[in-house]
Amino acid sequence: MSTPRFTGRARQYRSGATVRILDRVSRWAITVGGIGTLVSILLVSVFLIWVAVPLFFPTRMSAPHRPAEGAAALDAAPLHLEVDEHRRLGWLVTREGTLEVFRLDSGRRLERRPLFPEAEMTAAAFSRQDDRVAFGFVDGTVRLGRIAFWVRFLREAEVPPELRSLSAGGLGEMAGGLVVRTPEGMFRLQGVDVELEPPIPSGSAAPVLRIDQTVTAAGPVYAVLTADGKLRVNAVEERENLLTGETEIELAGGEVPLAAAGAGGLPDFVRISGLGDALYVAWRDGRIQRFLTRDPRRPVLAETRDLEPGPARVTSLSWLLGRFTLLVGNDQGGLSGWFLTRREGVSTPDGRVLTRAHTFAPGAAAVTAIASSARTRLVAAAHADGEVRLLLATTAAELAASRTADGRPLAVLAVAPREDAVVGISASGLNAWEVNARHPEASLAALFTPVWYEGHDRRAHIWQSSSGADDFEMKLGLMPLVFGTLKATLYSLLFGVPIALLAAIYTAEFMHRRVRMLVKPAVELMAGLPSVVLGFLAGLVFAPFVEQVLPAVLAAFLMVPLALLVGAYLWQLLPAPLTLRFSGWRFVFIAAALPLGILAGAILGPAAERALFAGDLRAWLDGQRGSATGGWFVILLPLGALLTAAGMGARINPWFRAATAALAPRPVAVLDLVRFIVGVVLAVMIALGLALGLTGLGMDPRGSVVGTYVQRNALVVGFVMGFAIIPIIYTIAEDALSAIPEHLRSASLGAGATPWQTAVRIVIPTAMGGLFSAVMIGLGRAVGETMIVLMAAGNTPLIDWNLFNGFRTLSANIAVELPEAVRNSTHYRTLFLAALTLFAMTFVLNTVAEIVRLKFRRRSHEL
Amino acid sequence: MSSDPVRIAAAPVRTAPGGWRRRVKQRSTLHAHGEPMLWLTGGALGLALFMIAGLLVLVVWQGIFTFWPGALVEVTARSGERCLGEVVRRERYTPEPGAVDALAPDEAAAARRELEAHRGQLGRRLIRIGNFDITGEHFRWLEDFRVAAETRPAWAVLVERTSWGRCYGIPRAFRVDGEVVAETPEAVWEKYRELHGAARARRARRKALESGDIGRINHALEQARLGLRKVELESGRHSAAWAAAEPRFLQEQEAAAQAFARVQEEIHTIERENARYQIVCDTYHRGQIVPATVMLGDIVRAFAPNRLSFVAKLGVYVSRWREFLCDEPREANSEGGVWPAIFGTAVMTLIMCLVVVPFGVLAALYLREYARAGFIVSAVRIAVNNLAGVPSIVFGVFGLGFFCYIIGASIDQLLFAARLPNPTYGNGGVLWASLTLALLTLPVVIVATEEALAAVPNSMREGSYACGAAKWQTVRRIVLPRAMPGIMTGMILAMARGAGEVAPLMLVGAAKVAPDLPLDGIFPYLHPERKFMHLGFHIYDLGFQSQNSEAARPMVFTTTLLLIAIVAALNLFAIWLRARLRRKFVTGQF
Repeated sequence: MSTPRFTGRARQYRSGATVRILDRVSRWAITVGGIGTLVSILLVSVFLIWVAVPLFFPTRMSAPHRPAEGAAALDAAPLHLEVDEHRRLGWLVTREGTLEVFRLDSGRRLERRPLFPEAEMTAAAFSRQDDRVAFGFVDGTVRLGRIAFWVRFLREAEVPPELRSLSAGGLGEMAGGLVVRTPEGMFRLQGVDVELEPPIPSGSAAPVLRIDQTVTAAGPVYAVLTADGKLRVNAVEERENLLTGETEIELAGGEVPLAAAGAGGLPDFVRISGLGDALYVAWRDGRIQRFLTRDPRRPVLAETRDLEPGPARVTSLSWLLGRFTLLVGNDQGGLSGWFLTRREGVSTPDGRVLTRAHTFAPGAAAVTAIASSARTRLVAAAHADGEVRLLLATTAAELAASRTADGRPLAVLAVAPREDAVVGISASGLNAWEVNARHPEASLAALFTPVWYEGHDRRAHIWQSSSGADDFEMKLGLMPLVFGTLKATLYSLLFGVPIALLAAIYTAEFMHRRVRMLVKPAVELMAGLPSVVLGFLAGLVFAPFVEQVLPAVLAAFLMVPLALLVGAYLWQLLPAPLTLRFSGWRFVFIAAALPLGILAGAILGPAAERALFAGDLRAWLDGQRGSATGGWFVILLPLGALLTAAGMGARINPWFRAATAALAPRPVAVLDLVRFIVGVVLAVMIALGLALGLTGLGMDPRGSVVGTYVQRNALVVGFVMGFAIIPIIYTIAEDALSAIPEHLRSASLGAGATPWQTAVRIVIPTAMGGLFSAVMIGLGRAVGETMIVLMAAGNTPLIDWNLFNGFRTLSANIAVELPEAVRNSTHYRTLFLAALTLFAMTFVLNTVAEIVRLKFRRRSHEL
Repeated sequence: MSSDPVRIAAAPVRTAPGGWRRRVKQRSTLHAHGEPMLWLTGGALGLALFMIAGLLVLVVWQGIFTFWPGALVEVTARSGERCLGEVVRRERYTPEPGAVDALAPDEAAAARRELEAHRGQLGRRLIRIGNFDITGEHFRWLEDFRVAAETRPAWAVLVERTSWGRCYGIPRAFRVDGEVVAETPEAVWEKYRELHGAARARRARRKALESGDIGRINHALEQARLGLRKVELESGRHSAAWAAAEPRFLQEQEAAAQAFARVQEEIHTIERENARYQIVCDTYHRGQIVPATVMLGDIVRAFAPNRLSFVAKLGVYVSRWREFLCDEPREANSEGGVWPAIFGTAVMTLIMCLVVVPFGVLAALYLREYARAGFIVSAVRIAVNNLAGVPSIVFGVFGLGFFCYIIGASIDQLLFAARLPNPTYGNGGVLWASLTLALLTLPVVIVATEEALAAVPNSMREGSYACGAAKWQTVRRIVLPRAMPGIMTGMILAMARGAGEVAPLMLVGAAKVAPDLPLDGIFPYLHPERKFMHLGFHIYDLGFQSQNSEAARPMVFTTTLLLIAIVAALNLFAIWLRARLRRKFVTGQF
């Protein structure tokens, strides 16, 4: 077949090579780029999960490692064992008062020296937290001091020639300690340093049986039990003699009235708390006595309690980090944690009692040793059947367990400073476990259930991630933050959703097209307002303002709707021709009613304050004055209005309509106004009646939904967050309403329905899906809003429904704390978990909204 | 009107099978109009509009008038104490019970009169008294009942200084080298006008030396140090290379020290010259007249507000705006300008745009033109839509964890090992902030572009194919040009969102004070690793972290006004563009 050619030019039927190549390349580039971009967005969630998930990885504990030489060389039952932070060296003190320093890798002893060659040691106390030691002697004297690891980097010249060729990580011994070649190629010399102060008298010449010490801000405090049955507490004060320049030691102390405490032999345990204000004395049968030693000269017995009510006997009693919680191990394998809590109606002089706060899962055999970490609330416990368990005191959770190589029990136990190892000594020598504790503080239980934190009186949800103190217990309860998020969302939706939806209905159904074209962009413009601006206005302008005129603000919330309703009923009174003529201007009249309502609020508020709240609303909220009636009345007023409206709608209105059907419009309008006024009076009566009833029942709203006024509070946040969510809900809802096909409206109007009937019975039900998704998206925005709550919510992580109190949301918490969180720490990962929670919450909300919206869209297309 | 509708409307009367007659009403009842509910809906809309208008009026009012020079008042208290300053605001308060009784008799009498007149409330005014170096406070509350007289001295002068905040006083002497050369306010003023220009020029020169020359010297020194450190890292401290590099470094260090000394000398000369000229003003402190000495070189601006004509006040007003827009902040950001913040915001937004627009368009093109429509594509579309609703702080968390701590730290390991442990890219910076915001605004661009692509009628594509064009040719020549306004809308919306977003920036690089701009004259000119100032963060910082929040208030409002103006302008532009686009292409809505 030949094609007719008109131009004489040969026609090309194939695309040119460049076009084809370009097409191929562009398809490839767009596909790769497009998919890559989409994937990179999804990467956000993947990354959050990737960072947060290690929080829940279990603690790993290796099989026991037994150094070859360790079997015979070391003392079989030392008093205390300590490991350095690099896990190279260890030291122990024997019952005879000898210090042994050894290598952890081989168990080889590097040094063995008697600490007290000329005196006989009879008691010792050690504190892992600050390396402090105290020794008691047969002559009744006491020596305080420190035994600690030291580290020094060697200059090249100092390194012995035979060690110069050490490879990175290699170990060598030289006089004075152990040399380690670091990965950077430096030579690190490690050793153990002993500083002991001169002997001080304990107040008795009999041999010291038990001793314990602590260092307070004022100086060391120690408690000594001597063989003559005397127990003394002494505070050591160092004073520099101005004349000689020497430091003099002054002891301030007193004898603890042990005799008054009852018989049963001499106590088996003496423990003094970290602040030096409490001395615990315990016997093996579980009896424990607490003495107040705030004034060490006059110790006072505070209470006597039983640690083991059953037949079990105490085998081990030691402090948790911070020396506030006592860990008690018994001969049946039970382990518990005790600390002081405040209790109502107790007879102790300080109002506090020693309480069993943590009960750990019991082991199979008697507890032989307990060691607590010097860093967190991690505890290692050894049992008589050779079992070794890692526990977390805060949640009383068992993290991991293992067993000694030959099943012999450990006599002493130590947790390495970096919590990367547990080391113990049994009769057959050294046992070491490698530990990877990861993030023990952040279990699901710790994050989302109430936890009994040290020093608190009961289990509670608390978020407190950091503190100045070293021995601080991390409190990672996410619930206050989740609660804060919900509180912010709830109060802002309570304010924002009705306004946004009603405004959208008015715009879509009753507004002139041309006005609508102006109004909608104006509201959308508000959606683009940076939230930092809203936050700043909320925190620095609205919050102080609301604080000054609180009664007026609260009254305005009630008066504005009332003013609108009054306006509507008055409008009905106007003759029909007049309303018809002005119907285009109705919005102006409506808008004019708003300032009137606000004005009424401003006048009525202070008056109501005098009448209902004893003249000072904020003092009333504090609970200082006034009765509960006023508060209940105001809170129940909306409820009363709702009840009245519902009652009227169900009972009165049909009757009213039937009765007035035959009347002319004017009288109906008058009767309607009367009905409205009766309704308002009824609502007030209902609220008043309920308020009196509730007050009569002894209930008070203060402490629940209302309470002490704080300047930055949920009221302010709810109001200002309205600025952020109203435009969003409004825009989507208005879109949904105007998407309803015009023929539905026409049909309804044509059938004789009024515009209002059309809106309520035709348009709104049809657009319900769109309205729902609008609210969901508004909800999503409120959940994640950061700057407004950061600047206006006060950021106190509390669980409190009080409208006038602050809160802290997940988002604000991230903004405040993440910049300071150490990378990959528990805190850091927990904040990532918070971000992931936010992400998941909003993602679910938005997906639901989007699916509903799409379904609704399909349906409205079909109509 | 008849009262019996049945007679008039005969047609609707029907007889039901049961035999009863149903009446059809002609008139809807009052209830059917739902007037009260209608008013409630209208009221809600009115309230929403009121809120917007109120907020804008508040910000605009406060923002516009803070720079207007107010009158200086001299208030004499009943106790004889005097103070000079600007009245910032007045308010009424309810005094503590018993507070009035504790007052001096004449004050108590005045207070009681006032209490009676104003229903138990007293008035007080906040006066900005300045002279922080003498009084130790910037503001003072003064109760109305304490005031005996209030005058406006003609020669009261407001001096804005580079440090110590404002100085209020009445000029008494002009000193040159310690000698008084003018003693009346007029003469002092004459001298001031004569010499201030030169002093200001000297200050500008000093500043240029400090930030320009010293900055360059420090930079060179740092480079030399890094070079040496690099050699050390590569070949060790005892290598030949290090031995060769070290003297070179020492030489450069020496050179830098000399250059530094030269610049320092020049700065000292300028300082000495500036210190020669001093103005002494009389101010009040604890009821006494105290001389306040101000160095001429420290004066940013001085004027006697009570003597100024309207035009002259306008001049001060304009000059303050100019300073606000073009200068750097001083006095812990509470005075001066916000130029670095404007610049930082602009640079960050631009980098963000460069990233987000190409990738957003690519993703949209893929979704709309290339991917086969199906379940996966619609699922991805829903997911992308959703990401627009994910809280911005979540993106900030991602940015910090991924960009700064992983990508940035890796870059540092690879390229900037010499600077470790100080992070270069392993910390917040303008690049990471831009990328984070790009991720945040990606859904905005994708959705807008997709909408625009969908709005291009299929007939145009088919026409193009029918002419023999390949797919890419169709996309490039037919689809993209038609979709361009939509893409621009998306870009502008993204810019508006990016410019106003603060929460993620707090994590990935916005700083309270960034000494260096991310773009400057030192190679490589653009420094994407630097921290930067941002208008939104500036508002947060000024409003909530500022030491002297009362003095910072005007600055916060003006900054807010500026930010709102930028964001609103961008948004309005986008709305306008979208409206134009709709008119052009869209036939059916939704």
